[in-house]
Amino acid sequence: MNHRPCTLTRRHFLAQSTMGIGGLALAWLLNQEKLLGDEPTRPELEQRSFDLLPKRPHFKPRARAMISMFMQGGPSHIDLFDPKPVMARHDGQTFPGTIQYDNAAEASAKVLHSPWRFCKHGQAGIELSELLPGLAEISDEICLVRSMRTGVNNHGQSINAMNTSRILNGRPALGSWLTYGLGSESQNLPAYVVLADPVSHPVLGVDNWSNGWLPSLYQGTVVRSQEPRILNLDPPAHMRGQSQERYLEFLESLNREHLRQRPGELDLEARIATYELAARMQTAAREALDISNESAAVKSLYGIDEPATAEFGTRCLIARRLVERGVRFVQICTRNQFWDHHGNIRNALPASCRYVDTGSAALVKDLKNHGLLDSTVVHWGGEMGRLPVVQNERNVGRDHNTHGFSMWLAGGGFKGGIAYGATDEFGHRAVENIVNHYDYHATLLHLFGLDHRRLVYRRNGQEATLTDNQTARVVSEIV
Amino acid sequence: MTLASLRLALLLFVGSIGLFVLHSGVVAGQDKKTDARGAVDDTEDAKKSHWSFRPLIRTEPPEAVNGVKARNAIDRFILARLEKDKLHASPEADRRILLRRLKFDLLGLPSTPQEIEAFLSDARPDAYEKLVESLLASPHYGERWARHWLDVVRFAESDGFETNLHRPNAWPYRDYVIGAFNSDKPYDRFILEQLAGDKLGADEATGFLVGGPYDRVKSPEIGLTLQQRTDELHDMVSTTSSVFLGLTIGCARCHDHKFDPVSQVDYYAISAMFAGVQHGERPVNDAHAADRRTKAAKLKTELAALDRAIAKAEPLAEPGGPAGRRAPVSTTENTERFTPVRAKFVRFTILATNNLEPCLDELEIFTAEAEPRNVALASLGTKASSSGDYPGAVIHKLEHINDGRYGNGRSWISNEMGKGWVQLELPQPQEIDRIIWGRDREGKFADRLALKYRIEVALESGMWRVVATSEDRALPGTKLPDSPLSRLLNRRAELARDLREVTQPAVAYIGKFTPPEPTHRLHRGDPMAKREKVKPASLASFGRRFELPEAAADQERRLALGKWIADPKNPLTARVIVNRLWQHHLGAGIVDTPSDFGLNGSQPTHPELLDWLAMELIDNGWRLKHIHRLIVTSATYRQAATGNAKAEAVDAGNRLWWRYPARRLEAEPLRDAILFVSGKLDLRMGGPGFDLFEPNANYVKVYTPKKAFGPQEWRRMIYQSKPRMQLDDTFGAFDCPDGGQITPKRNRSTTPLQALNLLNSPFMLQQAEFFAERLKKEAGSEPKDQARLGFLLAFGREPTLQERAAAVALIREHGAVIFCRALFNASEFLYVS
Repeated sequence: MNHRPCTLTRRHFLAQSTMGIGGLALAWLLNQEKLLGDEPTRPELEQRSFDLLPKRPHFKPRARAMISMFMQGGPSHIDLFDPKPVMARHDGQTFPGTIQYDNAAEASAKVLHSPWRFCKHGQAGIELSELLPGLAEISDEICLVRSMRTGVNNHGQSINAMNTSRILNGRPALGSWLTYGLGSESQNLPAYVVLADPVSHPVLGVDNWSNGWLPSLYQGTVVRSQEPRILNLDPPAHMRGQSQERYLEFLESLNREHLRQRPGELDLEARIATYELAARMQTAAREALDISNESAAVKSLYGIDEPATAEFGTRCLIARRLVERGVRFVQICTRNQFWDHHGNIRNALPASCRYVDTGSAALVKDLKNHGLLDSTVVHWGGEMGRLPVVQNERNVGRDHNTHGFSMWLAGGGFKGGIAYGATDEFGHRAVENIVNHYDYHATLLHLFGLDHRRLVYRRNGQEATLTDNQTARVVSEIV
Repeated sequence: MTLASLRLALLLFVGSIGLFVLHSGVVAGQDKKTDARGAVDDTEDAKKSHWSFRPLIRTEPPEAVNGVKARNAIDRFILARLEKDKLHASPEADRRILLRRLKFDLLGLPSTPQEIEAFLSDARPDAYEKLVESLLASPHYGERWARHWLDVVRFAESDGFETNLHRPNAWPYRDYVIGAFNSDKPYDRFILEQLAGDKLGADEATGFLVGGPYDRVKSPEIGLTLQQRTDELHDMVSTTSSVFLGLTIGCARCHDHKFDPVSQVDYYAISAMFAGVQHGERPVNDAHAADRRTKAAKLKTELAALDRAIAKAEPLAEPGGPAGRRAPVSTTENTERFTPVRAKFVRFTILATNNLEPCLDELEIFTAEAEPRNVALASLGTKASSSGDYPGAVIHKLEHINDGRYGNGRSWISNEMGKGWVQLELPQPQEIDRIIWGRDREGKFADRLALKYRIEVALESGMWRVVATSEDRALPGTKLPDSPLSRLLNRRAELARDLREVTQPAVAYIGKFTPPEPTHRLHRGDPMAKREKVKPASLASFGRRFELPEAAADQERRLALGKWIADPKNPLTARVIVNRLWQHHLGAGIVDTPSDFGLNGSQPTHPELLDWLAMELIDNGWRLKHIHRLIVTSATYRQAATGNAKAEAVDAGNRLWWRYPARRLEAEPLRDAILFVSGKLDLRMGGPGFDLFEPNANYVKVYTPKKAFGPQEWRRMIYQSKPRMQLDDTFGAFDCPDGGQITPKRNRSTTPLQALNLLNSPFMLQQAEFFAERLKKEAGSEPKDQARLGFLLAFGREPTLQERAAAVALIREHGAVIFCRALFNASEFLYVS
């Protein structure tokens, strides 16, 4: 669906719609596409209005959608992505150098060599840990970045860095920027969807998908992990049909009149838009979130037939279905501190891997099968990695490390089958081709056809950007 | 520690650091010295000279020359600052809007058509000020503002962590906070009481200390238990410091604070203040204790008189008499009256029960004299024996039969199904005429009830004489005809219940106090890496410095900490609280990081105004209502919310307050308003809350949202028994905090899920139906009258002609419920401008 011309899609939708969208909304939907990059500078005093219509980027995009699997807590790159054979010789000995502990509660300086085996995979021969057999199968599709760095203390700050490009709370998330800049190709599903974990939200909770000071229209919409995935989706049977249409019309006329007397109130505009979207979601979301018509083979690919992998696999499959239907940005979140292996890493890390490995690999394969991988960025990574030394000898684990860690990307214009950058021989600090969080953001926007310096939001007389005047670089070697 | 508890511990830790909030652009934070990576200038000089650590300065409010007339000093500060940017304040909003704004802001409730009418027609020049006074005097003010406070102190009524068990006795703290706001308790006193209320006659106030999560699952491993304890203390330290001081002292747990002048030793010195505080319940010696004692004495006198009357009216037992002469056996209390007889032994023999082994909670024997005495009590030397006792139960023992205490928890059970006897031997013979017995006088249990029995007395062992049996009682379940006796008995039951209520030792989840454990500095925060001992002391870098001896008692520590915080010389305390009040009245704080006044927080937009307000507070006896009054009567507050393109271009965030910031209602006033308008809101105040989740008694509490709602759920939402990390299905989506962390500032999101919840949730549909019923009842069956009343109730205004026509058409075609559902979803209903 997302390869068809957008206008056609919307007309098609309107023809089918039975939700009684008012005339004003119709006009709103049929509004001309706005050209973000070519937009003439508007007079300073003009009232701004915001919408989710598709917008043309600054230049030809490679990617149209993104699925981010956010591995909160900090997966241990040393045990998963970044083999350090040198460490075998130092195992159990004192670390020869300075360690930058972050939140060290039980730190020691004793080197812990990875207890897991690494092997080369695929034509490119990327070395990966035995804990990720699924990933090994798609190793030629991925771009493994081994030199990530945020360099800031602790989870909250580093999550902010990865999500919003700055360590402080309150800024818009990446998904908000993308939907602000590009709108959505679906006008009947939220532009920015968060597929929440059944147990809990990650550290920072709903701030992970906050619109910050962007209009609230660009906030992520949370979809529950259990049925009903969206609560209260339908009116009761006796209120459906014509009475529902007339009802929504009446409500809209009240709200439009209320807004007319308060021009430019962004919250009020956003609220009207959410009602329109809610009405359309009643059919569209149900259809998109229902995986019952997927084939047994596809379900099996995602591990949905196995209890251990079914939950995460289902969310991955839903993510593919959403992107297929024009959703711009999907974030799949792990639970709170899922990868924060301060202790018991020998058992806990394999368990975390088992939970996500099948689903995440399947997502890449399946997107490719559907011809969506070229235009969809897939991201897998957390806010930090782990230290090469033991934390807590009584219950072995590893402490935080934001000075060097790994993540992988696939599709959407990222090169497949490469491993980029390197950490030092203990995996502590990124030393070669360092990719800072803001470099990563600039690169992502680039693939979406957006110049990170020109995707601006005017506030308080200033031009705010995602990368916020940091010396960000598009990492051209990996795209 | 389990994974889940580790998770929450880390969450708490991160939460305390995660308070580093945004710079807010043009106004706040602009002049902050930051380098290219956004790091803050943290040189020692910068730390010491930081604005919020310097003493308060009283600045004369500037003379403003601007379009809008200044009503008080606040306006002069605001107008002068606006002028700097060549901006103007907005004109005053109209009265209808002001009333709605004020009532939601101060009470969290919509206005009634009568109130609107009265205010609009009030021609007195001070009509607005009079309105403010009456609202500030309303008890619902406390309910509204207590909610803001409970956000800040992370109050919730469950443990958190993996069990997340309910805390049924946590609510007294909520009532305390509501009462404190309503009585305009001086803020310095409010601080002291929350830290050391046990010393100050305000026991419930210390619910503050233990309002946070608590890991009930204790690990057998010493390292992990110590970790849990340090996490508890960490919660107290970081909450206390952020709530009262706007300081993130919690950040100094593992190392000196990165930004603020707080050393790791400081952290442990403050931690030592709480070293005697443990999570849990303790008896409340509340402000009403004396009251309750008086009440109890009165009830006892009344009961004694009643007992005498009953004794006379109670028909004599007639062994072998016709059935139905006397009342059926009751589970709570039964009286056997007989002609006076001299006795040394009394035997109660049970021949049949409604099920299981029989249970008696107390057997009382009364003397035949003007002031009857219960001579059965073991304390008087009476000895009990029995046919056999229920084995192995702590709460069911023979000695409970005459211990003077009621209830299943202090009862005797026989060891045989359906039968058994118990005998009391008095120390000397007595003239007796009455025996009273019961199964469970607390009325909780109805099983194990003796249905057939015989009561015998003897002067000498073995010489038994039957005085009463069950034969002449009516069959169980028979209703007694109304008679003077039945009325006396009913009255007696009422009084007995009241007496139980006032004499029961009330307990509340307000913390237990123990001798303080020694406090050590922990290397990198590791509880197993103890370093030097640390004495309880104030922060080293500002305020009045003090240190307590290592042996200082628990209460002394908390009291000292409270006094140090509430000291008028403390530069942070007053600034922090006036900023919180300002934030709720005017949409954002003067410092928009309300719980972080440190170097990493935002700069104040109006530093002189903040100090002026802080000094006003101190100079006026720390009375918060004084500050409320100043703010809401200012011209700044009374401005219209209308947009202004020029001002938006300069200050889109309205941080300079060139208009009133229109806002969506938060979850609680929204839910309250819906119930208020539908006519179902129950405004009963205080006491235990209502539950929005189905009850269950699992070891790990499972929160299943209720699907249907009845009157017990229609109280104000502040009385929802609030579990941690579990949000209500319908209103949780409106940015309700979940009590997992302190929430000094709520998000204001706008999402399609909110729309769906308001459109289709069972709660909303039910209330729309009630609203429609109300319209019909109060406006009659004519759609145009229903439409008019609907608009008046929901929006506080008449519909326009056009709106009325549309509404009438909708009501005619599809009924009033649909119309009401639309009103509840309208922006005008949801927003306050």
